[in-house]
Amino acid sequence: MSKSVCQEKVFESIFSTHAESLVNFMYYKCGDYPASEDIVQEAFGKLWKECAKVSIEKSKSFLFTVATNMFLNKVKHDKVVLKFARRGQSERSIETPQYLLEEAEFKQKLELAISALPEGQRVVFLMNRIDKMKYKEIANNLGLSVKAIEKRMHKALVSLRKITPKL
Amino acid sequence: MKNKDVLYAKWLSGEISDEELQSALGVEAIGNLDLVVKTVDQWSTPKYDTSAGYEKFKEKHRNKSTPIRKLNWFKISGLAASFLVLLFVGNKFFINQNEELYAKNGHNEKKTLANGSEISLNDGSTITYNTQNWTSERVIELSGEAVFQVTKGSPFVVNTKNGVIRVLGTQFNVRAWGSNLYVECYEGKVEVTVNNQKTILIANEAVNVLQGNMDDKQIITNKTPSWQNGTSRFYNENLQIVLEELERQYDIKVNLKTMDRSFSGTFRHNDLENAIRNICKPLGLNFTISEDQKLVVIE
Repeated sequence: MSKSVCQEKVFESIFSTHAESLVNFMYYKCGDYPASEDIVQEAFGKLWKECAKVSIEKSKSFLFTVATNMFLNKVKHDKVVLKFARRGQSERSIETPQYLLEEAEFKQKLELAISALPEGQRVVFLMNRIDKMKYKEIANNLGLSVKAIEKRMHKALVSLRKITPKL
Repeated sequence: MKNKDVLYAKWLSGEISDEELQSALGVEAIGNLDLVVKTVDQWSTPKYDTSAGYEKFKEKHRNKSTPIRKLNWFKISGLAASFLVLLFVGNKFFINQNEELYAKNGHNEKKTLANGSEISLNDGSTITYNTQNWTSERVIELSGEAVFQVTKGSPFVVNTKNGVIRVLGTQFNVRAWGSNLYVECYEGKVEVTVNNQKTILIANEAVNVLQGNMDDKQIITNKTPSWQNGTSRFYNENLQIVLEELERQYDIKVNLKTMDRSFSGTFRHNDLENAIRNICKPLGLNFTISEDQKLVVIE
Protein backbone atom coordinates (compact mmCIF):
# COMPACT_ATOMS: atom_id res chain seq x y z
CA MET A 1 0.00 0.00 0.00
CA SER A 2 1.41 3.40 -0.96
CA LYS A 3 1.64 6.30 1.43
CA SER A 4 -1.38 8.54 1.81
CA VAL A 5 -2.36 11.59 3.83
CA CYS A 6 -5.06 9.46 5.45
CA GLN A 7 -2.44 7.43 7.33
CA GLU A 8 -2.01 8.60 10.88
CA LYS A 9 1.80 8.60 10.73
CA VAL A 10 1.90 10.56 7.47
CA PHE A 11 -0.66 13.04 8.70
CA GLU A 12 1.18 13.61 11.96
CA SER A 13 4.43 14.32 10.14
CA ILE A 14 2.65 16.80 7.85
CA PHE A 15 1.27 18.49 10.96
CA SER A 16 4.61 18.77 12.71
CA THR A 17 6.37 20.00 9.56
CA HIS A 18 3.92 22.73 8.60
CA ALA A 19 1.85 23.74 11.64
CA GLU A 20 4.25 26.36 12.95
CA SER A 21 4.86 28.15 9.67
CA LEU A 22 1.10 28.14 9.05
CA VAL A 23 0.40 29.69 12.44
CA ASN A 24 3.06 32.32 11.80
CA PHE A 25 1.61 32.98 8.34
CA MET A 26 -1.80 33.59 9.88
CA TYR A 27 -0.28 35.72 12.62
CA TYR A 28 1.38 37.99 10.04
CA LYS A 29 -2.00 38.44 8.43
CA CYS A 30 -4.13 39.20 11.48
CA GLY A 31 -1.87 39.90 14.48
CA ASP A 32 -3.95 37.58 16.68
CA TYR A 33 -1.95 34.52 17.73
CA PRO A 34 -4.75 32.48 19.38
CA ALA A 35 -7.04 33.09 16.39
CA SER A 36 -4.20 31.99 14.11
CA GLU A 37 -3.82 28.73 16.02
CA ASP A 38 -7.57 28.10 15.73
CA ILE A 39 -7.58 28.60 11.98
CA VAL A 40 -4.65 26.25 11.55
CA GLN A 41 -6.52 23.62 13.57
CA GLU A 42 -9.50 24.04 11.24
CA ALA A 43 -7.31 23.88 8.15
CA PHE A 44 -5.85 20.55 9.29
CA GLY A 45 -9.40 19.40 10.03
CA LYS A 46 -10.27 20.04 6.42
CA LEU A 47 -7.15 18.25 5.20
CA TRP A 48 -8.08 15.24 7.33
CA LYS A 49 -11.59 15.21 5.93
CA GLU A 50 -10.32 15.32 2.38
CA CYS A 51 -7.21 13.26 2.90
CA ALA A 52 -8.15 10.83 0.15
CA LYS A 53 -8.28 13.59 -2.44
CA VAL A 54 -5.03 15.40 -1.58
CA SER A 55 -1.57 14.03 -2.37
CA ILE A 56 1.26 14.37 0.13
CA GLU A 57 3.12 16.75 -2.20
CA LYS A 58 0.08 18.99 -2.57
CA SER A 59 -0.85 18.99 1.11
CA LYS A 60 1.27 22.01 2.03
CA SER A 61 -0.19 24.36 -0.57
CA PHE A 62 -3.61 22.88 0.19
CA LEU A 63 -3.18 23.92 3.83
CA PHE A 64 -2.02 27.45 2.95
CA THR A 65 -4.93 27.91 0.54
CA VAL A 66 -7.53 26.55 2.95
CA ALA A 67 -6.18 28.63 5.82
CA THR A 68 -6.23 31.76 3.65
CA ASN A 69 -9.86 31.17 2.67
CA MET A 70 -10.91 30.48 6.25
CA PHE A 71 -9.11 33.60 7.31
CA LEU A 72 -11.06 35.74 4.86
CA ASN A 73 -14.32 34.44 6.26
CA LYS A 74 -13.56 34.43 9.93
CA VAL A 75 -11.00 36.84 11.24
CA LYS A 76 -11.37 40.53 11.71
CA HIS A 77 -8.11 42.10 10.59
CA ASP A 78 -8.73 45.77 9.95
CA LYS A 79 -6.22 46.96 12.52
CA VAL A 80 -3.26 44.65 12.67
CA VAL A 81 -0.70 45.24 15.40
CA LEU A 82 2.17 42.78 15.35
CA LYS A 83 4.52 42.19 18.26
CA PHE A 84 7.67 40.12 18.23
CA ALA A 85 10.08 38.76 20.79
CA ARG A 86 13.81 39.26 20.52
CA ARG A 87 16.04 36.25 20.17
CA GLY A 88 19.41 35.75 21.83
CA GLN A 89 19.54 38.36 24.57
CA SER A 90 23.14 38.06 25.66
CA GLU A 91 25.72 40.64 26.71
CA ARG A 92 22.87 42.70 28.02
CA SER A 93 24.63 43.96 31.13
CA ILE A 94 27.10 46.14 29.22
CA GLU A 95 24.40 48.03 27.37
CA THR A 96 23.43 51.38 28.82
CA PRO A 97 19.82 52.17 29.75
CA GLN A 98 19.86 54.87 27.10
CA TYR A 99 20.83 52.34 24.48
CA LEU A 100 18.20 49.87 25.66
CA LEU A 101 15.53 52.52 25.58
CA GLU A 102 16.48 53.60 22.08
CA GLU A 103 16.57 50.01 20.98
CA ALA A 104 13.13 49.36 22.46
CA GLU A 105 11.76 52.46 20.78
CA PHE A 106 13.24 51.51 17.42
CA LYS A 107 11.76 48.04 17.71
CA GLN A 108 8.35 49.47 18.44
CA LYS A 109 8.61 51.89 15.56
CA LEU A 110 9.57 49.09 13.23
CA GLU A 111 6.75 46.85 14.46
CA LEU A 112 4.28 49.64 13.73
CA ALA A 113 5.71 50.28 10.28
CA ILE A 114 5.59 46.58 9.40
CA SER A 115 2.04 46.28 10.76
CA ALA A 116 1.07 49.20 8.54
CA LEU A 117 2.37 47.55 5.34
CA PRO A 118 -0.25 46.17 2.96
CA GLU A 119 -1.03 42.60 3.99
CA GLY A 120 0.55 40.94 0.96
CA GLN A 121 3.87 42.76 1.42
CA ARG A 122 3.88 42.23 5.16
CA VAL A 123 3.34 38.47 4.91
CA VAL A 124 6.05 38.03 2.29
CA PHE A 125 8.57 40.16 4.16
CA LEU A 126 8.04 38.33 7.47
CA MET A 127 7.99 34.83 5.99
CA ASN A 128 11.32 35.65 4.37
CA ARG A 129 12.96 37.29 7.42
CA ILE A 130 11.47 35.36 10.33
CA ASP A 131 10.61 31.94 8.88
CA LYS A 132 13.71 32.20 6.64
CA MET A 133 11.80 31.04 3.57
CA LYS A 134 13.25 31.65 0.11
CA TYR A 135 11.13 33.58 -2.43
CA LYS A 136 10.51 30.35 -4.33
CA GLU A 137 9.13 28.62 -1.26
CA ILE A 138 6.87 31.55 -0.42
CA ALA A 139 5.66 31.59 -4.01
CA ASN A 140 4.78 27.88 -3.84
CA ASN A 141 2.96 28.30 -0.55
CA LEU A 142 0.90 31.24 -1.71
CA GLY A 143 0.31 29.91 -5.21
CA LEU A 144 1.98 32.92 -6.81
CA SER A 145 4.91 33.47 -9.15
CA VAL A 146 8.39 34.24 -7.82
CA LYS A 147 8.22 37.54 -9.65
CA ALA A 148 5.06 38.50 -7.74
CA ILE A 149 6.78 37.72 -4.45
CA GLU A 150 9.81 39.79 -5.44
CA LYS A 151 7.58 42.73 -6.32
CA ARG A 152 5.94 42.64 -2.92
CA MET A 153 9.28 42.33 -1.21
CA HIS A 154 10.64 45.27 -3.20
CA LYS A 155 7.72 47.47 -2.19
CA ALA A 156 7.99 46.48 1.47
CA LEU A 157 11.68 47.43 1.51
CA VAL A 158 11.02 50.75 -0.23
CA SER A 159 8.67 51.66 2.66
CA LEU A 160 10.90 50.34 5.43
CA ARG A 161 14.10 51.99 4.19
CA LYS A 162 12.99 55.31 5.64
CA ILE A 163 12.56 54.13 9.22
CA THR A 164 15.12 55.89 11.40
CA PRO A 165 16.45 54.72 14.75
CA LYS A 166 16.28 58.14 16.47
CA LEU A 167 12.98 59.81 17.30
CA MET B 1 18.55 48.30 -15.78
CA LYS B 2 15.40 46.26 -16.26
CA ASN B 3 13.26 44.74 -13.51
CA LYS B 4 13.36 47.95 -11.52
CA ASP B 5 10.32 46.87 -9.55
CA VAL B 6 12.12 43.95 -7.90
CA LEU B 7 15.58 45.46 -7.31
CA TYR B 8 15.36 45.57 -3.52
CA ALA B 9 14.18 41.98 -3.41
CA LYS B 10 17.18 40.91 -5.50
CA TRP B 11 19.49 42.96 -3.30
CA LEU B 12 18.18 41.40 -0.11
CA SER B 13 18.55 37.86 -1.43
CA GLY B 14 22.11 38.66 -2.50
CA GLU B 15 21.46 38.39 -6.22
CA ILE B 16 22.73 41.94 -6.74
CA SER B 17 25.32 43.86 -4.72
CA ASP B 18 25.11 47.14 -2.77
CA GLU B 19 26.94 48.87 -5.64
CA GLU B 20 24.57 47.54 -8.26
CA LEU B 21 21.59 48.73 -6.21
CA GLN B 22 23.15 52.14 -5.68
CA SER B 23 24.09 52.60 -9.31
CA ALA B 24 20.51 51.85 -10.29
CA LEU B 25 18.70 53.84 -7.58
CA GLY B 26 21.27 56.35 -6.24
CA VAL B 27 23.67 56.40 -3.28
CA GLU B 28 20.85 56.89 -0.79
CA ALA B 29 19.14 53.70 -1.93
CA ILE B 30 20.04 51.52 1.05
CA GLY B 31 19.06 54.07 3.69
CA ASN B 32 18.48 52.30 7.00
CA LEU B 33 17.70 48.96 5.45
CA ASP B 34 20.80 47.25 6.86
CA LEU B 35 19.70 48.10 10.38
CA VAL B 36 16.05 47.30 9.68
CA VAL B 37 16.87 43.87 8.30
CA LYS B 38 19.39 43.12 11.02
CA THR B 39 16.81 44.02 13.68
CA VAL B 40 13.95 42.02 12.16
CA ASP B 41 16.22 39.02 11.68
CA GLN B 42 16.54 38.80 15.47
CA TRP B 43 12.82 38.68 16.01
CA SER B 44 10.75 35.62 16.64
CA THR B 45 7.10 34.74 16.95
CA PRO B 46 5.79 32.95 20.05
CA LYS B 47 7.14 29.39 19.99
CA TYR B 48 4.43 27.11 18.63
CA ASP B 49 4.05 23.92 20.63
CA THR B 50 3.63 21.41 17.82
CA SER B 51 2.96 18.32 19.94
CA ALA B 52 0.37 20.12 22.08
CA GLY B 53 -1.19 21.43 18.88
CA TYR B 54 -1.42 17.91 17.49
CA GLU B 55 -2.95 16.55 20.69
CA LYS B 56 -5.55 19.28 20.50
CA PHE B 57 -6.20 18.46 16.88
CA LYS B 58 -6.70 14.76 17.64
CA GLU B 59 -9.11 15.59 20.44
CA LYS B 60 -11.20 17.83 18.26
CA HIS B 61 -11.15 16.24 14.84
CA ARG B 62 -10.16 12.63 15.27
CA ASN B 63 -12.01 11.46 18.31
CA LYS B 64 -15.63 11.26 17.39
CA SER B 65 -16.92 9.15 20.27
CA THR B 66 -18.67 11.18 22.91
CA PRO B 67 -18.74 9.90 26.46
CA ILE B 68 -22.25 9.31 27.82
CA ARG B 69 -22.95 11.58 30.72
CA LYS B 70 -24.83 10.31 33.73
CA LEU B 71 -26.72 12.89 35.66
CA ASN B 72 -27.57 12.33 39.27
CA TRP B 73 -29.35 14.52 41.72
CA PHE B 74 -26.29 15.38 43.66
CA LYS B 75 -24.65 16.84 40.57
CA ILE B 76 -27.78 18.64 39.49
CA SER B 77 -28.23 20.31 42.84
CA GLY B 78 -24.56 21.25 42.73
CA LEU B 79 -25.09 22.71 39.29
CA ALA B 80 -28.06 24.71 40.51
CA ALA B 81 -26.08 25.98 43.45
CA SER B 82 -23.17 27.11 41.33
CA PHE B 83 -25.60 28.79 38.98
CA LEU B 84 -27.01 30.75 41.91
CA VAL B 85 -23.54 31.75 43.01
CA LEU B 86 -22.72 32.84 39.48
CA LEU B 87 -25.83 34.96 39.35
CA PHE B 88 -24.91 36.60 42.59
CA VAL B 89 -21.29 37.21 41.63
CA GLY B 90 -22.28 38.29 38.13
CA ASN B 91 -24.64 40.81 39.61
CA LYS B 92 -21.94 42.19 41.82
CA PHE B 93 -19.60 42.60 38.85
CA PHE B 94 -22.29 44.26 36.89
CA ILE B 95 -22.59 47.01 39.44
CA ASN B 96 -18.91 47.36 40.17
CA GLN B 97 -16.36 45.92 37.76
CA ASN B 98 -13.44 47.03 39.88
CA GLU B 99 -12.01 44.23 41.95
CA GLU B 100 -10.08 45.08 45.08
CA LEU B 101 -7.71 42.95 47.10
CA TYR B 102 -6.39 44.03 50.47
CA ALA B 103 -3.78 42.35 52.66
CA LYS B 104 -4.36 42.97 56.37
CA ASN B 105 -1.46 43.94 58.60
CA GLY B 106 0.42 40.80 59.55
CA HIS B 107 -0.88 38.93 56.47
CA ASN B 108 0.28 38.41 52.90
CA GLU B 109 -2.28 37.81 50.18
CA LYS B 110 -1.84 35.94 46.92
CA LYS B 111 -4.02 36.29 43.84
CA THR B 112 -4.00 34.56 40.46
CA LEU B 113 -5.52 36.72 37.76
CA ALA B 114 -7.62 35.69 34.77
CA ASN B 115 -4.67 35.13 32.41
CA GLY B 116 -2.51 33.32 34.97
CA SER B 117 -0.47 36.27 36.18
CA GLU B 118 0.23 36.10 39.90
CA ILE B 119 0.33 38.86 42.44
CA SER B 120 1.45 38.55 46.07
CA LEU B 121 0.59 41.45 48.32
CA ASN B 122 2.67 42.51 51.28
CA ASP B 123 1.02 43.47 54.55
CA GLY B 124 -1.34 46.42 54.52
CA SER B 125 -1.23 46.77 50.71
CA THR B 126 -4.14 47.13 48.31
CA ILE B 127 -4.58 46.50 44.59
CA THR B 128 -7.53 47.46 42.43
CA TYR B 129 -8.17 46.45 38.85
CA ASN B 130 -10.96 46.36 36.34
CA THR B 131 -12.13 42.82 35.60
CA GLN B 132 -14.17 43.82 32.58
CA ASN B 133 -11.38 44.85 30.20
CA TRP B 134 -8.70 42.74 31.81
CA THR B 135 -7.52 40.82 28.74
CA SER B 136 -7.07 43.89 26.59
CA GLU B 137 -5.92 46.31 29.26
CA ARG B 138 -3.99 44.93 32.19
CA VAL B 139 -3.83 47.90 34.51
CA ILE B 140 -3.44 47.60 38.28
CA GLU B 141 -3.64 50.35 40.85
CA LEU B 142 -1.28 49.63 43.73
CA SER B 143 -1.01 51.19 47.11
CA GLY B 144 1.77 49.56 49.12
CA GLU B 145 4.02 46.71 48.04
CA ALA B 146 3.51 43.67 45.84
CA VAL B 147 5.43 41.18 43.74
CA PHE B 148 4.24 40.34 40.22
CA GLN B 149 4.72 37.32 37.99
CA VAL B 150 3.31 38.40 34.67
CA THR B 151 2.29 36.05 31.87
CA LYS B 152 2.65 37.05 28.22
CA GLY B 153 -0.08 39.14 26.69
CA SER B 154 -1.15 42.75 26.45
CA PRO B 155 1.01 45.37 28.23
CA PHE B 156 0.89 45.08 31.99
CA VAL B 157 0.85 48.39 33.84
CA VAL B 158 1.11 49.13 37.55
CA ASN B 159 -0.07 52.58 38.55
CA THR B 160 1.07 53.99 41.87
CA LYS B 161 0.69 57.54 43.03
CA ASN B 162 4.48 57.90 42.90
CA GLY B 163 5.02 56.65 39.36
CA VAL B 164 4.02 54.19 36.66
CA ILE B 165 5.65 50.82 35.95
CA ARG B 166 5.10 49.29 32.53
CA VAL B 167 6.09 45.68 32.17
CA LEU B 168 8.17 44.55 29.25
CA GLY B 169 9.09 41.28 30.92
CA THR B 170 7.98 39.01 33.69
CA GLN B 171 8.97 39.29 37.37
CA PHE B 172 9.34 42.35 39.51
CA ASN B 173 8.55 43.90 42.88
CA VAL B 174 7.11 47.36 43.46
CA ARG B 175 7.20 49.22 46.77
CA ALA B 176 5.22 52.45 46.87
CA TRP B 177 4.81 53.72 50.41
CA GLY B 178 4.72 57.39 51.40
CA SER B 179 6.40 59.38 48.67
CA ASN B 180 8.90 56.62 47.93
CA LEU B 181 8.97 54.22 45.00
CA TYR B 182 11.30 51.24 44.83
CA VAL B 183 11.26 48.69 41.99
CA GLU B 184 13.27 45.47 41.73
CA CYS B 185 13.33 43.47 38.50
CA TYR B 186 14.03 39.70 38.68
CA GLU B 187 13.34 38.58 35.14
CA GLY B 188 12.77 40.29 31.78
CA LYS B 189 12.41 44.05 31.60
CA VAL B 190 10.33 46.74 33.23
CA GLU B 191 10.05 50.40 32.43
CA VAL B 192 9.67 52.88 35.31
CA THR B 193 8.30 56.35 34.65
CA VAL B 194 8.29 59.12 37.27
CA ASN B 195 7.22 62.58 36.17
CA ASN B 196 9.29 62.95 33.02
CA GLN B 197 12.08 60.56 33.97
CA LYS B 198 12.06 57.10 32.47
CA THR B 199 14.33 54.12 33.00
CA ILE B 200 14.33 50.51 31.88
CA LEU B 201 15.34 47.85 34.38
CA ILE B 202 16.66 44.50 33.26
CA ALA B 203 17.00 41.39 35.44
CA ASN B 204 18.92 41.97 38.69
CA GLU B 205 18.49 45.72 38.61
CA ALA B 206 16.60 47.98 40.97
CA VAL B 207 15.82 51.66 41.15
CA ASN B 208 14.83 53.88 44.06
CA VAL B 209 12.78 57.06 43.68
CA LEU B 210 12.72 59.48 46.60
CA GLN B 211 10.38 62.47 46.49
CA GLY B 212 10.06 62.16 42.73
CA ASN B 213 13.81 61.97 42.07
CA MET B 214 15.17 58.87 40.46
CA ASP B 215 18.46 57.46 41.84
CA ASP B 216 20.95 55.56 39.71
CA LYS B 217 20.13 51.94 39.13
CA GLN B 218 21.46 49.37 41.58
CA ILE B 219 22.50 45.78 41.04
CA ILE B 220 20.64 43.28 43.22
CA THR B 221 21.41 39.64 43.87
CA ASN B 222 18.12 38.48 45.38
CA LYS B 223 15.73 36.58 43.12
CA THR B 224 12.61 37.33 45.15
CA PRO B 225 11.69 40.40 47.22
CA SER B 226 13.09 40.27 50.74
CA TRP B 227 9.64 40.47 52.33
CA GLN B 228 8.73 37.10 50.89
CA ASN B 229 11.60 35.58 52.85
CA GLY B 230 10.41 37.26 56.03
CA THR B 231 12.81 40.21 55.82
CA SER B 232 12.46 43.89 54.97
CA ARG B 233 15.40 45.54 53.24
CA PHE B 234 16.02 49.25 52.71
CA TYR B 235 18.55 51.40 50.90
CA ASN B 236 19.03 54.86 52.28
CA GLU B 237 15.39 55.06 53.31
CA ASN B 238 13.69 57.69 55.41
CA LEU B 239 13.41 56.29 58.96
CA GLN B 240 9.73 57.16 59.09
CA ILE B 241 9.06 54.84 56.14
CA VAL B 242 11.13 52.05 57.69
CA LEU B 243 9.17 52.28 60.93
CA GLU B 244 5.86 52.31 59.07
CA GLU B 245 6.91 49.01 57.52
CA LEU B 246 7.77 47.72 60.99
CA GLU B 247 4.32 48.78 62.22
CA ARG B 248 2.64 46.90 59.39
CA GLN B 249 4.72 43.74 59.77
CA TYR B 250 4.20 43.42 63.53
CA ASP B 251 0.86 45.26 63.72
CA ILE B 252 2.21 47.59 66.38
CA LYS B 253 2.44 51.31 66.97
CA VAL B 254 5.80 53.09 66.97
CA ASN B 255 6.39 56.48 68.53
CA LEU B 256 9.40 58.24 67.10
CA LYS B 257 10.91 61.31 68.65
CA THR B 258 13.84 61.72 66.25
CA MET B 259 13.11 62.80 62.71
CA ASP B 260 15.04 63.16 59.50
CA ARG B 261 17.24 60.10 59.68
CA SER B 262 17.75 57.57 56.95
CA PHE B 263 18.33 53.87 57.32
CA SER B 264 20.05 51.22 55.20
CA GLY B 265 19.75 47.63 56.31
CA THR B 266 17.29 44.85 57.03
CA PHE B 267 14.98 43.57 59.73
CA ARG B 268 13.26 40.21 60.08
CA HIS B 269 9.54 39.68 60.58
CA ASN B 270 9.60 37.05 63.32
CA ASP B 271 11.38 38.71 66.26
CA LEU B 272 10.21 42.17 67.26
CA GLU B 273 12.96 43.06 69.68
CA ASN B 274 15.67 41.95 67.30
CA ALA B 275 14.08 43.84 64.45
CA ILE B 276 13.94 47.10 66.42
CA ARG B 277 17.53 46.65 67.59
CA ASN B 278 18.62 46.20 63.96
CA ILE B 279 17.06 49.53 63.09
CA CYS B 280 18.06 51.52 66.19
CA LYS B 281 21.59 50.36 66.85
CA PRO B 282 23.24 51.62 63.66
CA LEU B 283 21.57 54.99 64.18
CA GLY B 284 22.54 55.22 67.86
CA LEU B 285 18.90 55.34 69.01
CA ASN B 286 17.36 53.91 72.17
CA PHE B 287 14.03 52.10 72.35
CA THR B 288 11.52 50.68 74.80
CA ILE B 289 8.84 48.09 74.09
CA SER B 290 5.61 48.13 76.06
CA GLU B 291 4.64 45.08 78.09
CA ASP B 292 1.86 43.95 75.73
CA GLN B 293 4.34 44.27 72.82
CA LYS B 294 2.00 46.69 71.06
CA LEU B 295 3.86 49.98 71.45
CA VAL B 296 7.47 50.94 70.79
CA VAL B 297 8.98 54.26 71.78
CA ILE B 298 12.20 55.35 70.08
CA GLU B 299 14.31 58.32 71.06
